[in-house]
Amino acid sequence: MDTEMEKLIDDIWNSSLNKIASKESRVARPSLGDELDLSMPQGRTLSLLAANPSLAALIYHSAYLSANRNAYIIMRKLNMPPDYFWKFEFWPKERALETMQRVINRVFTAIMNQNKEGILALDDIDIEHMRFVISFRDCAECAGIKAQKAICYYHAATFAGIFSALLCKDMDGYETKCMANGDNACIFVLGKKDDPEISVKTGNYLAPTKLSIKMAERMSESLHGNPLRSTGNMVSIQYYQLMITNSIISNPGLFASSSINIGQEYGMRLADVLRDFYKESSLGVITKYYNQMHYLDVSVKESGPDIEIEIKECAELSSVLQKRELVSFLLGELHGLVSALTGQQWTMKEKSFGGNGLFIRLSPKV
Amino acid sequence: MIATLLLPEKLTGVYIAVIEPLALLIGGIMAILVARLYAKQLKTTFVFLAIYLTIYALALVIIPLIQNNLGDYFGIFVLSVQLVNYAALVLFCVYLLKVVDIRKLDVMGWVMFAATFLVSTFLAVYPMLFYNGWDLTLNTLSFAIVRIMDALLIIILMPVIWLYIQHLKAQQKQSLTFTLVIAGIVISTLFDYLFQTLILIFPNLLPTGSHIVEVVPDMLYIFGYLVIVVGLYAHLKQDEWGFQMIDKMLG
Repeated sequence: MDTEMEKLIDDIWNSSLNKIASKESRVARPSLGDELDLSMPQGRTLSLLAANPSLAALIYHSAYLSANRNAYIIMRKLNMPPDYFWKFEFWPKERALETMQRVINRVFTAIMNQNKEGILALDDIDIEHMRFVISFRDCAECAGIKAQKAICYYHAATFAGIFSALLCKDMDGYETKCMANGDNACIFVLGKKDDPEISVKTGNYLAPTKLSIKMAERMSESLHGNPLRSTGNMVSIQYYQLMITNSIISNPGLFASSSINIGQEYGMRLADVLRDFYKESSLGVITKYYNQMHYLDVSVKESGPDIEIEIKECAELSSVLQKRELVSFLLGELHGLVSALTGQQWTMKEKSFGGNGLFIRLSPKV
Repeated sequence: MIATLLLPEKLTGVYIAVIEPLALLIGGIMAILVARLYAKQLKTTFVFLAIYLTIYALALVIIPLIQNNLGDYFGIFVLSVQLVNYAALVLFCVYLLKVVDIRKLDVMGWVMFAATFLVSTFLAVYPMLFYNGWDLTLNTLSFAIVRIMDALLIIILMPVIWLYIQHLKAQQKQSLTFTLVIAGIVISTLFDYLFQTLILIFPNLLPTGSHIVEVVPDMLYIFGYLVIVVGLYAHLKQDEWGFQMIDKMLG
């Protein structure tokens, strides 16, 4: 695991906690604001997943560890007694459900509401087997997506990590219903890692499966502003950063190189959607699209034979960590977009970072 | 507890006669309330603790009142009450061991366990081994049973306290308030023996004829019972207090 990225994840969790405690009102992006369209995190993670089905298990693993670590830190910061859930397996169901619901709602539902990740609720507890049923309405991971199977790996892992930290037990979780399959809410079952039913079903859930998701339709929905969930189509930049970081943290170097190619393909498909929506093929659609999605403040201009792309308020970089690996998908996406919109091949001649900005120069491929 | 030592000699007896059973009775009621927080073995554990504390409280009140009416049967009655009470406490320990996994003791824990075993066994049997004229009467039998049972309880309960200390350093898996309850039982059982041993080894520690020699054991009992009461009360309030902490921090 990349320790710098781990620190970034911990900072994001800490900032979320400070926000629900009203101790922080910092706006990371003064112009675009701290929210962006849902299709941004979805487009990136689902494209990576479609290209590499085994990524599901990697996202799950890193999201589990980061949620576990941070839930523990949060509970200590909130001065919650470490033995608060002592001998939980001996609690009557009523007390267990009521107490756990209170804590989850006050802390973790509040954090996720603020991040517009979805509406978390603990629905049921099976004390005898230590299993928990969680519903997650308006899930940011899959709202508006149509898939053949349940796909909310990040949230399955996050919930398992949070419960593991609260109960000091190793837990796992899988999804039984998913909004991507047409269900009203995503439903997760969590249980102990050594529970055979839980381990088998989690294993099946994370088993690499080829996904074919119609991202063009999904992007079109966002461009038309069709409402996809009751909490709106925007999601916090912090959630986006957590998703991206957890997707690549296990091997940032390797993911960065593959992300460029996957991003390039994604950008080429995106160009068709933008042409269709904006009814034009100029490079100006890039600025319009990213502004509309609240993702980037980008300007694209021709400079002699080259194309210069200047990016401000990049969602990936609006944090203390300036990791090139985090923007590799974006670099590929912009490259693909420009190539498809101009009908010409380009090479990336220059790229530089500064603040939360990025400068790219593309030159015609000889 | 301090009041026990500071009160005038005439009042000390009354004070002890009221506070001791009262603390036990409050402990019994709280143990029942705590039992309602749990299910299965842990619920049973607290029910037996409640039975133990309540019987003890009632015995302290009733026995002096009926002492004269029982005549020759007084000794048998007291022994029977003690046996029933110890049965409740032993069952408390048995269920406790089912819940608290002492197999997870570290090396230091096992060393402490062995030391506790040796010390407790010594404290239990030394009067029987070293005193001449030991006859098998109802009184001596009662005396021996009580000492052996007390030693057994300490041997069982000490690892629970050590488990807490051990986990405090590791993952904080043990309950502070529950450990406090156990510590109260250990204090009320063990400290009197330690005090008696101390007086035996250092006979000039207290002035000859001082009423403190008789008051200190009661003071230690009251201290132990109050620790149990405080532990149970905090255990009872833990959900509420824990959540208030979170609420306060989140504003």
